[in-house]
Amino acid sequence: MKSKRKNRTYSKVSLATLVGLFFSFTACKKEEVIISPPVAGSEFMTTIKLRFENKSNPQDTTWAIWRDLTPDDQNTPDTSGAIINLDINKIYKVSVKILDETKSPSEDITEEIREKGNFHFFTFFKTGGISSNLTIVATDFDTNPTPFHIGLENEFTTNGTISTGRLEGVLRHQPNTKNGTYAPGNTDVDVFFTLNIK
Amino acid sequence: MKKNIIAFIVLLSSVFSSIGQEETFNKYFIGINGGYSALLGNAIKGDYADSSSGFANSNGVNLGLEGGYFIKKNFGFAAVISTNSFSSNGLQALSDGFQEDFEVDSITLTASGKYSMYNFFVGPIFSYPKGKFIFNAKVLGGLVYAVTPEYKVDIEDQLEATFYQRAASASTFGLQTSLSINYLLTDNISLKLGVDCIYTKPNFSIINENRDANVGRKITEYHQVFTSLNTNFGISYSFGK
Repeated sequence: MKSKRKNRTYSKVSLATLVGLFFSFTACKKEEVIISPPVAGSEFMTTIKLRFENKSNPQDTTWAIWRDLTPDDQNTPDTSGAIINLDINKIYKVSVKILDETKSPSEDITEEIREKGNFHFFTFFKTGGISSNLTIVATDFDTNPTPFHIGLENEFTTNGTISTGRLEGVLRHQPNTKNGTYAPGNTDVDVFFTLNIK
Repeated sequence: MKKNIIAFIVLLSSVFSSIGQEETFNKYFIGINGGYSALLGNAIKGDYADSSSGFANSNGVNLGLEGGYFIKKNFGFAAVISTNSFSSNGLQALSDGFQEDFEVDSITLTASGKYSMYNFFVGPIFSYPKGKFIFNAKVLGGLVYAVTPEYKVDIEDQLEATFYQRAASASTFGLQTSLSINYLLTDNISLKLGVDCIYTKPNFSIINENRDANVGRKITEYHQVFTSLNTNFGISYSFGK
């Protein structure tokens, strides 16, 4: 009797062991690592143009241009056109255009950035006298589940104080990290303009 | 599909139940087998832009345990516990796709786990012994527990951007048809060579972790047919005369 019980128990344990080994064999995890390396032939963002349109007088339009045609920074950027003159107590619709002027004809990559706005963010920083006399609000949004500004379309509002300062424009590349702030990601473009409020 | 299977069962029942006189036969059998599996369908596609692509390898393996009881010499019921597994394939295209969509210099994609199906089937078995050979046919149905692999994507050197397509599991109904030939080594022990086809359509609900942005391929559910053609070799033990 005891040996029969032992045999049944032994059979159950053997079967359980077999089934366990069976599933553990098939559950073996194996990692496979794939790397996508850098691809040659990038686009360069050589030129940043800011277009200022006076909202109360659309004919009153001005441009400012920052240009660096040597992407490897061999030469200093051309800032001869990077001067902005705004009137006091005005509201301006401001558009950012980004070009690659190493190509002939030059390539406007603004729309490409806009289409990829879910992981790009253009933002401005003010320093000097304009800091408290100029308000900047982005007006365009991306299509993320929580929409964030892209920053290619903005509204600049000047108050009644004449002042001068520096305007910095930065394009941030934020793949899968965009949260509406400057912090995440890397800088694609970092440009400077002189801005006068008269 | 279901009408064809029912007709097949009825035909086999009428054919096999009329064969031969009643004589002593082994009522029970158990066996183990394994072999090569070929996966068909969209699961083996590797097109990044196509959401039906599963990036599964079309070549895999199968392993199975079976057992059964013969009511008559030619007819009985069988149960099968088996598994098919397929690794990932075409992951370079998946990685390159993410690299292009996120516009980054480099991406590292790590795949862990496999497409695995754990099958628990029961159904009728039809048997035709001829000398040392026994020809068997089975039509089974039951539960399939299926699992997908997991993908981790690291973006350049941005640790906070790492995201995951987590492994998913689904339980669903599956069907198996099989044909096999057993060669009797002794009255009880035989070698088995078989082919079978397993059909199932699991409905995976997929969790993506740290995918806050609408960028790149993002699969939240995967509901495709998995058809596996299997060849297997094994050993069987019959008893209970």
